[in-house]
Amino acid sequence: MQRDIGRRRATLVTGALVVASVAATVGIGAAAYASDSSTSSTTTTASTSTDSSSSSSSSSTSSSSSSSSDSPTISSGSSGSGSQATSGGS
Amino acid sequence: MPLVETLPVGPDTAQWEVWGTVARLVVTDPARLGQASHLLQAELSAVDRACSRFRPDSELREVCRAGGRPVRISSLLAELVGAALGAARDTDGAVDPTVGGALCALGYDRDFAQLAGRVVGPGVRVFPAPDWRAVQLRGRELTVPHGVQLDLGATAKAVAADRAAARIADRLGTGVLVALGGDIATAGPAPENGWQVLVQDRPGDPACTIRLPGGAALATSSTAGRTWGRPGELLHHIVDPATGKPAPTVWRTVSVAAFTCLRANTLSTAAIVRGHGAPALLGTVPSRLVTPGMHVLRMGGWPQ
Repeated sequence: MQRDIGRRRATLVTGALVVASVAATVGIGAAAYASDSSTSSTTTTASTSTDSSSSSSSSSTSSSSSSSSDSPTISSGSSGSGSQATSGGS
Repeated sequence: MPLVETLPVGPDTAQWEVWGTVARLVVTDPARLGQASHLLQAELSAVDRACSRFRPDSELREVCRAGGRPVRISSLLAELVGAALGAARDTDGAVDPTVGGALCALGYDRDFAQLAGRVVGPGVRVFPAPDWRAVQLRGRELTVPHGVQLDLGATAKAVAADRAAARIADRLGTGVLVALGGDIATAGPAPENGWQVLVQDRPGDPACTIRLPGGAALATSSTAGRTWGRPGELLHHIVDPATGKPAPTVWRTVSVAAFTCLRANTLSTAAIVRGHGAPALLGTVPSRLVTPGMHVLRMGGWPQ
C-alpha cells in the first residue's frame, strides 16, 4: 500500500517535472522568437526610415543594373540664361 | 583640388566654403535667401557634429572609440549611418563606410584643405576594408567593431543636401537648389527654365549644361578632384573597399541624375569603384562618364 502510494507520488512528481520542463522550453523558444522578431523589426525600421527619407533610393538601387523608371528626365540646358550651379568632382 | 565654382553669385544665391569644398544655395524667392542660408548652415553644422571623421568630438568618433560596444546615437547619426549601410547593401559593398581606416592609412586623415602640399611617404600602408556588414545599426543603437573607422563621406554630404533642400522648401515655401561640391539636391518649384546646372569636373574638362526639373538631384564623383600624394603617384579619395586602395582610374568623372542626391551619389561613386563594370551598374539611369582621355559616354537619356 505504502509502496503504491510512493509510486503514485513519484509518477505525479515526474509528470509535473516534465510539464514544467516542456513549459520552460516553450517559454524560452517564444522569448527567443520575440527577441529575433524585435531585432529584425527594429533593424527593418531603421532601413525603412533611411529608404523613405531617401525616397527612390530604396531597393531600386540594384547593384546589378539600375532602371530609369525612378529617374528624372533631364534635358539640355540653355547656356544663354546662365547656370545656377556646377556639378564637378568635390 | 576640390570643385572650383566660377559661376557668379547673384541676389538669389549664397556661397561659402565648407568641408573642403563649396556650398552653394540658390532660391527662387530671393527674399528668403537669408533664412534659407541659416537653415542650410544649421543643417551642415549638425551633420558635421554627428559624423565628421576629423572632429575628435563628433558622435561618430565617439562610437568608433567605444571598443566594439553598442552606443546609443542621435536620430541624425542613425539616419546618416543607415544611408551609408543602405548604399553598401545596394551596391554589393562597392560604396562601403568602413574604408575610414584605409583612407587614414593613405594619408587622408584630416580635412582636405590641410592636405594641400602634404607629401605622403613611399611606405604608405593600405588595409582592405572590413566588411560593412560587421557594423550593426538597430534603431538608434550603433555597434562598430573594435578598430574599424567609419567614413560616411560618400553619402553624408548627399544626405545633407537632400535634407537641407527639403527643409528649406518646406519651411520657407521657396524653390531651392543646394549644391555641396558636386552633390546637388533641389526641392520645391523650379524656375521657369528648370534648374540650369553646369556639369564639368576641372577647368578645361569637357562641359555641358543640363536642365534639372524641380525635385531632381545630380551627383558627380571624380578621381581628379581630391588628389594628394607625391609626384608620379597621386592618390584620390574614392577607395575600392576590396583592396583598400584608390579605385583604378577607369573613369575620370561620373555624373548621375536621380530623384535624391543620395541615390545619385551612391551610383556615381559605385561607378568609379566598379570601373569597367560601370555601364552595367548604371543601366538606364541618366549618367555621363568621362574617361581619363576626356572621351564622354552618355547613358540613360543624358542629353547630347
